[in-house]
Amino acid sequence: MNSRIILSFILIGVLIGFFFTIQLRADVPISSLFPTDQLEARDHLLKTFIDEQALLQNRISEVRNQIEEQQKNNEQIISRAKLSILEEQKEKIGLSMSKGPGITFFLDDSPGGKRDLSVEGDESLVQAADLRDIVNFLRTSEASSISVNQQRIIASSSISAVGASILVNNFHLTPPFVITAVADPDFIFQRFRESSVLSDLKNRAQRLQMPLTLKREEQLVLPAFSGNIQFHFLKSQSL
Amino acid sequence: MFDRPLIYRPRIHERPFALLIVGLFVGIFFVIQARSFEKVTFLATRDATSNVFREIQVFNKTNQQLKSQIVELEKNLAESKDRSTSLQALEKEILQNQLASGSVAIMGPGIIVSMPEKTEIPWMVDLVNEFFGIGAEAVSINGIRMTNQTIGFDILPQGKILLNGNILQPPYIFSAIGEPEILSKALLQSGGFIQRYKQFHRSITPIVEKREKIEMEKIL
Repeated sequence: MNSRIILSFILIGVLIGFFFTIQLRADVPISSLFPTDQLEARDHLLKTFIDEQALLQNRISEVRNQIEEQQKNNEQIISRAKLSILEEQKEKIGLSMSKGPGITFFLDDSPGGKRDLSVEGDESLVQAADLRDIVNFLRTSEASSISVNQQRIIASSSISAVGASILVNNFHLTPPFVITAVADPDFIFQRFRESSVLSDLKNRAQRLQMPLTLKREEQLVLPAFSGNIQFHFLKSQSL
Repeated sequence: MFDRPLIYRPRIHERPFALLIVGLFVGIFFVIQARSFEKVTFLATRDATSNVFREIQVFNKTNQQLKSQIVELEKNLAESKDRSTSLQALEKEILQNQLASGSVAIMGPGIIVSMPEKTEIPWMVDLVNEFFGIGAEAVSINGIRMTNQTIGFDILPQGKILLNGNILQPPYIFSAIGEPEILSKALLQSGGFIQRYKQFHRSITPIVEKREKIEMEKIL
């Protein structure tokens, strides 16, 4: 009986020690499954795509502006009413600049976070899911326009991640993340103070010292959406 | 005087009490560890796992789409410069914008995803995002079209989900117009949305169905 009790205590003590050790933070040796030269080749290839993407987006903005200018020059042929309809539509969709008072969210990785060497779901880094949650919060707060690091967010925008890379409109973005919105600043501040709003992100930011701030802006200028809007499958029911 | 040995023997009722305290601590540590693991798993499952080939594929496809958009815009510009076709070009642009803004009823092939009653808001946000990321041209939830003016997902005190000022009743039917084969394959692939959802909700599976025709009403 005595030896059984002693054995039980030993086992329990071992378990306590085991869990206590797991619970303590431990530095994990950094390692990668990819050889260095393959990583370099991948980085070079991605940089080529990213540079090309920036050029293409600039070209899209340029051509859209040229079309707008040409349409204004065609006022003798095109009625003002039609031009006005077009302008209103572009504002609705996000194809024109947006101006007005609003707010800016600033969100960055925790000082100890290392994006290049991280594992998926690393809490100390800003995740694509965090940006999606902030954008959803801004939409519920009736923001009329939103952008993330100068990438305009429209209905068909996607904010995704491939590993530690964050893509907005399939455009690669790096931290820090500046999310701006043309909206009623007082309403946004009031809602943001609610404990249930973005609670996971707020708790994580506090626990891991991730910078997360909200600032009022007197006047914001958000760029027009410069991505792809084409329809190959969708059509009007009336056609 | 010293006929009894000086050995301390704990009273019988102290042993179970000591074991109880130790067991309590073990339980506390176990729960703390399990809960911290659960939070990391939720965050980790909301986004796709790392895949170099997928990254390259996404960038390649995006750049091809941007090039295609430039070709279309340059054609529009050329038509706008030609007085005989400028009005037609503008009307074509207005029609295109009507499709995007939700001011006309639309239709097309696509897929339907039925999400179960216990689906939380982050998963709904993620599914809409996923649809657009994989090429959906329009998305609606329980008949509510997602446009730039749509007020996002919110939760009411009783746990009901609000979208664009409307209470959503389960089951939650997500409709997406696009190429059905591509959309369903992307959702169902390894590491795709459905697999990630099931990792977190082991007992429930969303249902994905291809449809030849999906209709979405215009925004009022």
